Amino acid sequence: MLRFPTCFPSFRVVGEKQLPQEIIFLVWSPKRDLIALANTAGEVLLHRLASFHRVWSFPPNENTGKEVTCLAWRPDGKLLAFALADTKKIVLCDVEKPESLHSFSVEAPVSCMHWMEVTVESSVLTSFYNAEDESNLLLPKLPTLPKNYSNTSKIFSEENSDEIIKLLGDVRLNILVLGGSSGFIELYAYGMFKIARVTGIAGTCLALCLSSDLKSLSVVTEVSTNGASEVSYFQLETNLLYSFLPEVTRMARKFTHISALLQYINLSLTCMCEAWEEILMQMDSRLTKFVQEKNTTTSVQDEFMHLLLWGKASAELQTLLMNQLTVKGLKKLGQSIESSYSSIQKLVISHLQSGSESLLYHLSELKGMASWKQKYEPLGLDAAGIEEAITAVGSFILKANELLQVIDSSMKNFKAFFRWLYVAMLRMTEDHVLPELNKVMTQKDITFVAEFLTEHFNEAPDLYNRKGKYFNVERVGQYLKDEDDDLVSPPNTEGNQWYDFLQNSSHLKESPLLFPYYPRKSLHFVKRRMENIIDQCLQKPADVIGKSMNQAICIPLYRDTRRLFKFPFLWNNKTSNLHYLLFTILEDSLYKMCILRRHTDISQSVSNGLIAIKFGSFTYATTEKVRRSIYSCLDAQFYDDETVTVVLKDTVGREGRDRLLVQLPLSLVYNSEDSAEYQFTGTYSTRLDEQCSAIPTRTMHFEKHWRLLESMKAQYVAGNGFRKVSCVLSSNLRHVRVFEMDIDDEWELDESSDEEEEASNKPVKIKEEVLSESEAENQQAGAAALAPEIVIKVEKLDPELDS
Amino acid sequence: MALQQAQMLLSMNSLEAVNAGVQQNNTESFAVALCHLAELHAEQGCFAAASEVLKHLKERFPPNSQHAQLWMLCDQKIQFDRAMNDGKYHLADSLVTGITALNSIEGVYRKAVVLQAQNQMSEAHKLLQKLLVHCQKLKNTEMVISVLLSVAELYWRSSSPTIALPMLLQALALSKEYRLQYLASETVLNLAFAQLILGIPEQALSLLHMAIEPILADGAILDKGRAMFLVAKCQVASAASYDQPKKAEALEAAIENLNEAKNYFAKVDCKERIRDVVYFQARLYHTLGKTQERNRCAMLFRQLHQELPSHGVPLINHL
Repeated sequence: MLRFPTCFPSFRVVGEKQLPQEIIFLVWSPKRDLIALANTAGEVLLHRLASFHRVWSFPPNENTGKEVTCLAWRPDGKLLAFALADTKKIVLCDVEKPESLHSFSVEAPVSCMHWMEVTVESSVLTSFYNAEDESNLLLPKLPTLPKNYSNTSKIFSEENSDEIIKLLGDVRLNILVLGGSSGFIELYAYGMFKIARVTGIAGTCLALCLSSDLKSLSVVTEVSTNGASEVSYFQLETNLLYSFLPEVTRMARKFTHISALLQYINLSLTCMCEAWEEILMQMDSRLTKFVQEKNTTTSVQDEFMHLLLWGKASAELQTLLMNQLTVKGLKKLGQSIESSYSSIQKLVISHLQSGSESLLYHLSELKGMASWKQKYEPLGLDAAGIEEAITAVGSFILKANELLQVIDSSMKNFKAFFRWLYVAMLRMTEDHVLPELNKVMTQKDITFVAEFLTEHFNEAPDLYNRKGKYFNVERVGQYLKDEDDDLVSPPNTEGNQWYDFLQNSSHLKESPLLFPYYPRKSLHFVKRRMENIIDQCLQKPADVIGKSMNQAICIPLYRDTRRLFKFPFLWNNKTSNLHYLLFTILEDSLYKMCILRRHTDISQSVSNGLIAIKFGSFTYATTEKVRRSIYSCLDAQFYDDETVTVVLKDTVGREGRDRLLVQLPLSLVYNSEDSAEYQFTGTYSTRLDEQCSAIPTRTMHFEKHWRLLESMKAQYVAGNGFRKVSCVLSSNLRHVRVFEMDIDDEWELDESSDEEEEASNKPVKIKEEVLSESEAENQQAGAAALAPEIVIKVEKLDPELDS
Repeated sequence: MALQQAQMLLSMNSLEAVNAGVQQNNTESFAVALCHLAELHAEQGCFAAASEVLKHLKERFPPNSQHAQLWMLCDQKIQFDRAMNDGKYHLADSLVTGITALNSIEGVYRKAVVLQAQNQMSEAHKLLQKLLVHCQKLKNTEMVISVLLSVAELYWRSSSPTIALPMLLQALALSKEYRLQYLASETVLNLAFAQLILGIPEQALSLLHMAIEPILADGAILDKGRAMFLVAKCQVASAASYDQPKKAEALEAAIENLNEAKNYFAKVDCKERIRDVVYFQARLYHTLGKTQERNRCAMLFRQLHQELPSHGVPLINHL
C-alpha cells in the first residue's frame, strides 16, 4: 500500500523563482505539470513545472474583473475556473489559451471553490452517457458567429464549432461548488449551470468539498466577531443528488446545452443590432425636418405623388432632394440599406433560426424528461413550466420569421423607390440619365411606388410625440431596439387568412399547442420574455435541490484571527469515501496540526475521527544526527490519498534555516494496530480548541520524507500527488520553490555521487513512538533544551544537503 | 418541432397577402400545413380544435377542388384513430375504404390494423406481408417500419415473441439509419415489451430509459399512455424478485405510473385501455392490501367491462 518508505529520497528542487507580484492563490493542475497562480495585481498565471516557466497570463480587464479570489481546475485539467470579487463573476478559461470561454455572474463574491467529478458507476448511467449523441445527429451544426463580434465570449467564434462540446467536456457529471460570504453556496454542473443553491449556513466559506460519491458536502466557515473569527465545520447531506444521479446528470447536461444556446442567440442578436446602422434612419429624419420647415399645406405624401405623376416637384421638395439628400447621398443610402439588411437577413436565417430550433429541440426533450414524473419531479423539474418555455421559444421563432419578412419586403420596396427617385433626381439636375435607368416606367412600377408612398410616407403626428419624427420608413430597426415599447409600425396581418381564421375560431384559439403571437412587440421584447421563462423553469431545480441539502453535522473547530488564505484544507478520499479536514489549533503559541475525518455517508461513522499530530524528531539520513525541536505547523495539504504535505516552523531555529517540508504518511497516523488508543474523548458540540487535552496526539518521528527549506521563509505549500510535485511559497508571497517529491530511479543513478543515494540504499525505518501526553511533555522539554546544539551541527551539513 | 414548422409556414404568408388577391392563401402549402395542424391537435386529444381546422379546410377547399383530398384523407385518418381508440372496430373498418381510395398504402395498412384488432391474425399477417414487400419496393421507409412493428405485434400476440425480435431489430436499424427518432423510440418501446414477455423485465426497464423521453416529449397522447403502462408493467414484473418492503415500494411506484397512463388514455377516450389499467391497478392494490382502493378500481373496471366486453386477448399480450 505504502510505496514511498522503500524508495523515498528527499525532495529535489526543480524550480525557483522570485515573482514581481504577491501570489494569493496557487493550485496544481490535477492532470498535468501546470500550476495556476493568482496574484494581487489580478492576473491569473499558468506556469509549467520545468524551471517554473510561464505558459500564459490572463491579465485583469474591465470586462472580467480585477480581483481574483480563488482558482479551481476542472478534474480533467482542461479548464480553469477563477472567481472575481469586484465583478462577482466566475470565468472559465481554456488551459491552452488565456481566453474566457464562458463566464457567469453570481450573487455574492466567491471566497472558495471546489471542482469535483462524480466517480459512481452504474449501468443506468452508462446508458445515459451513450444516449447523449442523439442531438448531434438530429440537429444541424450551429454556424459560427462573425469573428469581430465575439469578443465577449469565444465559445462560438472558432472555425470548428466543437467549442461547446469542449466546454462541456466529458459526459460524466462534474460539479463546481462555489462558496462565499453569509452562507452563499452554489453548485454548478459542468461549471456552467446552477443545479443547487444552498442557504442557511452561517458565515463565510473557507473551504468546500463535495464528495465524489455525491453523498455529502463538507463546508468550513468562519464567523467573525470582534477581531477573532470562529471557524466551524459543517457536513451537508446531498442524498438527493446521490440517489438521482443519472437524472441529475441528464438534466444538467440538457441545462448546459440550453444555457449555451441562449447565449448563442443573445450573441446573434447583438450581431444583428450591430449590423443595423444609424445611417438607415436618415430618411426618416430628413423627411421630418422637411415637414417642420415647409410652409405649404400639401402633405409630403402628396408632394411625392405629384413628382411621381407629373414628373415635377415643388420647389421645397426639390431643395430637399437636391441640396440635402443629393444624388450621391441617395446612392450611399441605398447601398448601406441593402448591405445592412442583407447581413441582418443572413444572421436571422443562419444563426437565429438554427439556434432557436436547437433550443426548441432541447426544451422539448426536457419536457419529455419532466413528464416522467417519477424520475424528475423530485428534482423540481416542472412539465407545465417547460411547456410554457417551449411556447415562448415558438413565439420567438415566429417573431424572427416576421422580421425576416419585413426585411424582405423592405428591401424590395426600397429598391423600387430608390430607383425611381434616382432617375427623378437625375432629371432634375438635367444630368444625362443612363439609358438602362431611363426605361419607361411601367404602369405596374408606378402602382408599386405609389403604394409604397401611401404606406410609408404618411405623416403621423402622434409618432412625433413619441419618437420625435413623423415618419417610419425604416422598419427593421424597431425590431432590434432593446425597448419595452410597442413596434412603431406593426406588420399588417389583415388579409392573412390564417390569422383571420384563428381569430374567428372558438376552440383553436385556446389550443395549448399554438404559439402566441405578439404582433405589437419587438424581437428583443419577445426574446427577453423567452429568457425569463426559461430561466424561471431552470431555476426551480436549483432551489429544490438546494433545499434538500440538509445540514447534518456541525462541529465548531477553533477561534483564531484569520491568518491563512486557504487553510483549513478539505480532501475527499474517493476510494474509501472519507472526508478529511486538516486544521490547526493554537496551543501555547504553537499551531498543532489536527486531522478530522468523517465518512461521506452521514449515517456511517469512522474510527479515529479526530487526531492531532506532533512532530517529534527528524533524523538526517547521512549522519544519523537527530534534529529535535518544537515545531509549529504553518500549512498542510493533501498530497495524495495517503500523504499530507506539511510546512513546519522550527520555533528555535535560526532564521533561514527554520522551515521544513515534510511528507506525512497517513498510514502511520491511522495505524491499525494501536488505533484504539487514539480515541477522541471530548464532544463535538463544544469548540475543539477548548478541549485540547481530549484530542489524542500522535507523535511522529521522521528519518526521511523531509527537507530543510534553506534561506526561505516558507509559509504555504501546494502539493500535487499526480505529478509528484510540490510548490512552496514564502511568507512574503513572492518567492516560490518547486520540488519533485518522488524521484525516479533514473535520476538516482545519474546523481549517484549524491549523499541521497546512500540513504536510499539503507533500509528505511520510520520510527514512530507512542507517547502519552505526559511523556510527550517531558520529551518536549528535553528537546527544547537540546535544540540549539543540534542546529549548529546541522549547519555543517548544509552543502551536502543542497543538491 | 413539427408544430413549429407548421405555424411558421402559416404565418409566412402574412405580409404578402396584402398585395395579392384573395385566393393567395389557397395554396397547397397552406392546406398541407393546416392538415398537419389538425392531425397534431388530434394526436394531443384536442379534437374540438382539430375538427374546427378541418371545417375551415372544408370551406376553403370545397370537396371537388384541387387540394380537397388532402383534408379528406386527414379527416378520415383522425376518425379512424378515434374509432380504434374507442374500440368501434366496425366503424373503423368502414372508414378503411375511404382511406384506401385516397391513399392505397395507408388504406391497406389500416385494414391490417383493424383485422388485427378483430383477432383475425392470419388475414392481417397476409396483408402485412404483401404491404411490406410493396413498400420495400417503393422505399417507403416509414411505412416499412410501421408494418414491421405491426408484424412483430402479430407474432407476440400469437405467443411467439422470439420471432418478433428480428423484426424489431430490423425496424430499429432502419429508423436509426434514416434518423426517424420517433419511430426509433416506438420500436424501442416494442423491444422492451418483447423483453418483458421473454421474462427479463429489468432489461426492459433499462431499455425504456432510452425511449421514453422522446415519446413523452413529442409523442401522441396514446403513445405516452402506452409507454407509461409498459413502464408500470415492467416495474411490477421486476418487483417479483424483491423482498417485501422494497417490493411494496416498487408496486406503489407502478400504481403511480398507472395513474399517469390512465390520465393519458382518458384524454383520448381510450376506454379499452383504461379498463386494462384499472384492472391492473385493482390487482396491485389487492397485493398491497389496500381494500378500499381496490374496490374502487374494481368497480370502475366492472362498469367499463360491461360497456366493452373483453375480446379474450390476455392483458399481457397487449402493448
